[in-house]
Amino acid sequence: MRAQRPGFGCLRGLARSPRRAGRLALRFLRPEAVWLLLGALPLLALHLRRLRRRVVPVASIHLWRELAGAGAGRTGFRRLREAGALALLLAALLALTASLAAPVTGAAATRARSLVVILDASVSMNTRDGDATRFESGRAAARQAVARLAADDDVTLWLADGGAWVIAEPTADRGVIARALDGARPTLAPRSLDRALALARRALSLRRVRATLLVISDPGGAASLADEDEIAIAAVGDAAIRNAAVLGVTRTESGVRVHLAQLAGAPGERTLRVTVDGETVAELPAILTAGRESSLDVLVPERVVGASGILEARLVPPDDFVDDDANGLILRSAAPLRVVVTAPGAKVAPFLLEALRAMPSIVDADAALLASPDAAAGVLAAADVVIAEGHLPAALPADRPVLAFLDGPQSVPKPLLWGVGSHPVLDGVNLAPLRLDRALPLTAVASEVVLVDSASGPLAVAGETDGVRRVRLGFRAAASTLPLEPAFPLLVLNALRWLRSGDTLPDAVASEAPIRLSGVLPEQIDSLLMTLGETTTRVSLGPDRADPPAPVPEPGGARLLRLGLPGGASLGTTVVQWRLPRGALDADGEPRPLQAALARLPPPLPPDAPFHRLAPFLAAAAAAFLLLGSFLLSEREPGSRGAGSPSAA
Amino acid sequence: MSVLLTPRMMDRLTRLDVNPRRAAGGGGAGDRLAGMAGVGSLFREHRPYAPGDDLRYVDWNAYGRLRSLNVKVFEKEENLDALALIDRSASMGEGHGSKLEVALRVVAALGAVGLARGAAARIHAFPDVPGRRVAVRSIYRGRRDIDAFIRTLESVTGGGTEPMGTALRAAFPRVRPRGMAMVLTDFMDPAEGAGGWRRAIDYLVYRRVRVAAVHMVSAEERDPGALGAVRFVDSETGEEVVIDVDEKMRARYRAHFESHIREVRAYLRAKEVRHVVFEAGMTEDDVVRRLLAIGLIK
Repeated sequence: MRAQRPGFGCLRGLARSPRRAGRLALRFLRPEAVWLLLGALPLLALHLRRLRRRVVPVASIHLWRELAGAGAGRTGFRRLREAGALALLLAALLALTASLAAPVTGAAATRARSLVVILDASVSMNTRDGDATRFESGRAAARQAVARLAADDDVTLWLADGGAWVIAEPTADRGVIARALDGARPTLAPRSLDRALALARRALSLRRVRATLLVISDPGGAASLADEDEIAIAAVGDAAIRNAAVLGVTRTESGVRVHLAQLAGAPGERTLRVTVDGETVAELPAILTAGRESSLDVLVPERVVGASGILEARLVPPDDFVDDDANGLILRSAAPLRVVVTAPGAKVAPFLLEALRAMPSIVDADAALLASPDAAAGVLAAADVVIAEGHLPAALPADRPVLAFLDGPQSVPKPLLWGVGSHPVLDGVNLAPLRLDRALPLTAVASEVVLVDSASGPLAVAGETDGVRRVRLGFRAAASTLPLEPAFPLLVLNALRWLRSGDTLPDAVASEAPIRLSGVLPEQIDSLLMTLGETTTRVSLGPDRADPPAPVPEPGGARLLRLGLPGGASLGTTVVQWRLPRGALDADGEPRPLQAALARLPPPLPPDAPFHRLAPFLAAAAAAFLLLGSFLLSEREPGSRGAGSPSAA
Repeated sequence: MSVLLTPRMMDRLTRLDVNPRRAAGGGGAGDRLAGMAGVGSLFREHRPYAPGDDLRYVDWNAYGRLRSLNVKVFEKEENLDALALIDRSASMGEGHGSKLEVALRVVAALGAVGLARGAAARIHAFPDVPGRRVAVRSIYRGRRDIDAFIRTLESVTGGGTEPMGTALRAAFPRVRPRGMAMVLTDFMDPAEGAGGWRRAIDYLVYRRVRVAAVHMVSAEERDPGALGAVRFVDSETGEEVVIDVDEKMRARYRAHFESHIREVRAYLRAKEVRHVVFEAGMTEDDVVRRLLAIGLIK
């Protein structure tokens, strides 16, 4: 949970605390009594009302003064007296408020009653010791520490992952603390306790609060803070952890290469198990060296490599940190395509057939069917890809990928516009020498990319609609110089590859690494839908249409990543291989029991703690101020008597 | 300032006459008794002849009966020349229904009556207010100056903050010895010290000026009502006093104010200064009715 950056706003909030260090040791047991100060408002109102008494101009006041006495007209003295009375009444109210707030001095007042908890949320805290991860144990330790405090003591919660975050500002509300702890999650970031500690100390200095700093980490984190004597450190988890990780999986000609590393502890007897869609296809001993990385080539049966599915390489049995024990990739189908080539009268251009025969790994040319455009739907449905010449077959199934060379009725003037390499279909294709006799300007839909453009309109488009990919060329190969170009078989090869894969994404992507999507997105698309597990986020491509970075999967969470267009079209699926930070797990360190750390916290205030109560003195002062103020208010003017005296007014 | 006297009232006033106890301050021969011996037509008394007396005034009929020389002494007759000292301080207020308006209305009524009878009148509004200087003539005399006199009064605005005693010093050079002056004020200055109203009255009396004091009061001053807790602000000094005016304090204040009026009256009476009270908010009819009632006009 990342609640708030530790910026200046956070620091301002911290600085509001009333407790100051380096000043008179004084604290209030009932600070809520400060509300009594609102009583100053009616006092001020009455004073103002008194000052604003109705003014009556008279010819001369000497007759009135003779009645009221000589002092009645001395407004300066009277105002001074009234101001003095107000000041005394306010002082009485202040003293009474302070008395009710139960101020204490002495040892009880000088103890720090603020606790700052820095909870390590780095990758090592994902380690599982028994039934719970270290982070869960640290969370429980934080709850235990908070429970030791008095009800009015405030707690600040920091989360230390790659950075430092305040997830609960200083508060005495235990509900806020509990919610912040519940929402906190461990991350895959390396440990950064030093940074969090420095920020917390800076915040405390700005806040001028003497607080107890409690760092909750694992033994490695505790060891990294061994020089810190003024903070309480609690280490959760076993001191000696063992962790090996599958750092990544890549394809090879004969199988996959698995990158392994023994990140912490001595290597144990581990087995690398390779599964495809849950079916074990290989199992072999993992060769691991402490603190070193290694690679292991795994032979996978050809039938498996050529099939589609999700391949996972996992170290078994699991170690202390199970989330990095596995990684995987997507297997794409490598079987030759079965194609149906339609042409008027089933007379397919020979250069097209020759081109198909030139790519046996892509197309099984011997098994290709030649048909007329009015072929039955059953014939067309048996093909992986339909190649149409002239015009599209009438019974073309909606779910069949199509490479179409459409007959064009009109001549197209140069220049032709195309983008070489901007789309997988045009990868390496140079169409500069292309000449067209007749062409059919096409209309590109929203999900289609224009491959070849002209002044009359698009002449070649590629795109995906409702999950089905199609490449349409607005001219027949025979009506152009395309068959004479070296680019022709490459164009057909690229088109069939693209139509076959159904996926533009690589087999696997590393977390936070850019996903190469350039060239396959229509120009008008400015955002993507990225689905990782159950979470779908909309990723804006920005004005420069940069390749979006792969998300970081949660430890133990889903790693299958699906990319799609906002309109619903899918761009493919891949596996996110999260990159474990090197040296993130450091198991060296002494165990530091929580109780030892909690012993450094100020104990709850005992009822007989040695402190001095100031309330009686303040109450006496309040009474004295009240009496003096009342005396000043009720003092009679010299020479005035009875209810009519000015002072009685 | 609103219209002090309506044409109807002006017409009515020109048919009345002022009723001073004596004419004073007019200087030249007139038709009012000067209150002292002098050249006149009204016999006053006989006194024994003294060397140097004008033989034309020897009463030969008396000599025939008494065989002693006696000369006839006549009452001096002068014109009436009165000075109106109008308090326009901020305590007198301003605008309709204020004490200042009623004071000006009193002066206007008396002036209209006197000028119509050939008397002379002068105006001095105090204290001086920067930017609100009142353009007054040195003297208004006779019926032809009635309009100018009224217009001058209508231009008087209030707002001064100088104490009465201090403000009146500027008018002292214009006070003619043995003349007549009418002070229209609310006597709201603290009476103590050089700035107090007592010092001003004392000076006028010292100059043997026959003074009449028109004491302006307002209903709010007599009875402020139960205002509750208020902040009184002095209109002149800006000073404040906070008082809870309940019924008890209200009664105390009313009694205190009446004692203040009695105190002013007693002081003025001791100085032989006539003291009359006018209320703010009086209409021209109320003013003229009041002047007739107290005998200042007839």
